[in-house]
Amino acid sequence: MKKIAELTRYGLHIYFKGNKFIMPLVVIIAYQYTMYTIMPVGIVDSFVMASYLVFFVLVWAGLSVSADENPVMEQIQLLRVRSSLCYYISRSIILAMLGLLVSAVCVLFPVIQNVLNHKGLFLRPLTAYDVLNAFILVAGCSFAGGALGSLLHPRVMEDRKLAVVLTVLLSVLTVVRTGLVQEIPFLKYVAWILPPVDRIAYIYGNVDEFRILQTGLIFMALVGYGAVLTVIKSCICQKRKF
Amino acid sequence: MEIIRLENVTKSYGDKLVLNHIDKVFHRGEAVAFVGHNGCGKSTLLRIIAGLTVPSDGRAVQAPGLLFHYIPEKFPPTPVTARQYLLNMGILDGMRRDEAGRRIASLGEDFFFGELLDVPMRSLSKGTLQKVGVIQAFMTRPDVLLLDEPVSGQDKESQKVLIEKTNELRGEDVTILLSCHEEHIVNAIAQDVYTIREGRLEDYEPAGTKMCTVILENAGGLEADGRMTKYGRYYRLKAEETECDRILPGLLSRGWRLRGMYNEEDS
Repeated sequence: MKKIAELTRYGLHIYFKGNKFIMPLVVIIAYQYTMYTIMPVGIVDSFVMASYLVFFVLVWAGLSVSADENPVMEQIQLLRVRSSLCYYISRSIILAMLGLLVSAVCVLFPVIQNVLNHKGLFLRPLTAYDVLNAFILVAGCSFAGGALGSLLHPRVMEDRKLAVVLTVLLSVLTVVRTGLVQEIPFLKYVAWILPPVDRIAYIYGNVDEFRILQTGLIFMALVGYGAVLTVIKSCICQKRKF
Repeated sequence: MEIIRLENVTKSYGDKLVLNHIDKVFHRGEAVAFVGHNGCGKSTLLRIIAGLTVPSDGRAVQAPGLLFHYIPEKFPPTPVTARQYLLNMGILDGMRRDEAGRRIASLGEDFFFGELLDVPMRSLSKGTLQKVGVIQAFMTRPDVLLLDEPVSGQDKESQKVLIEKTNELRGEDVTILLSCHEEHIVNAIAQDVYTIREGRLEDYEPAGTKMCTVILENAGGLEADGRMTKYGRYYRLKAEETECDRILPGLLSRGWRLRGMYNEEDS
């Protein structure tokens, strides 16, 4: 446990000492200002959009965290901790923590904006229940996004250009899955392999209230998909080694 | 005590066979070097021994719980300073923060690196960066120390410290496995030397005769041997190693004073 914590701390330290976090951060800030400077906005709509944004931002972060892993540094750490499992769990926790950080920013920013605007930011009063649901949704999307972004790790796919193109393709397909299946019905047989991010819009597209049961189910599905993608990546890396 | 066993290890990359049915046992406290031309499979063999590379056939069996420390050929930079990196590696080794801090300071001084510990690793030169790669492996005592071309780009003084520290670890029963081109490093560290030829592990036989350079001081009025050349205020004599053994006692008894002696590979 201590080794996982130390590996995670070191991984986050390296990530924030580099410059790979700057562009995603700029995108998040730009989105928040664009989204919440026009008042009033719908609570559910705006948080659903934030979920999609966080999904893409974490795909981006997952790609850059994976691409930044130097094989020599990986080898030194793997030998030191004497446990591949500890190492791969720590890599997953790094992305999960980045996801939680981004989720917190994306949920707290409108809450603060709402307070600063005398509670006039949203079409109806914002409740703690809304904030809780929003955070659960956004956090679930962040985990699935991070896992999808790191799936095509350099040891899984050496051709980085192809890995980036495929990751972008997979993430776009993830958010248009339902629409695609409606157009081309037989795609439903393969579309299930993608995380159910688009279910959020499907469930909350035309409603003004969150439902915790629905939110919880989507969250569990997103985390489940993310966990499966993480296990697949880790198993391939462990099998192939260096 | 046996700690690593290679059983019929074969490795190929595409059509290229790099290691061909290698069987070998390594014991605790052994110091073994692998020499040979670039691409002959030395680094691959080290990585297979450590379990970092999967053999195409056969297997590498390690005693349970072995701690490997690894000095790579090219140590990559990271965005943190050398001190921050080494501190993290020490903590991963199970050291306390203060304990790791003291060890870094001590090793930094030993490797003439103290002033650069707080410089971001991305700003360090190749040789200095390689020192970080060496120091991280000496933070704690491993069971096996893997050295893959450990001295690339390093100054002579640091090379001597590396040799000293490696031999200290060997004295503590650490197994040393070295891949190296520099013969003086191999001679100073390894007890057994192997080469890889066409994928096979073979005993290494140094080719040709070794030449020695002897630096002598003329104690006064002695006539220089015809093969001696002026070397500052001394004389330099180059001869085969065996010939040196034969002629040196005579020169010293005639009044010449020995001021230095080294192998040609070390120069």
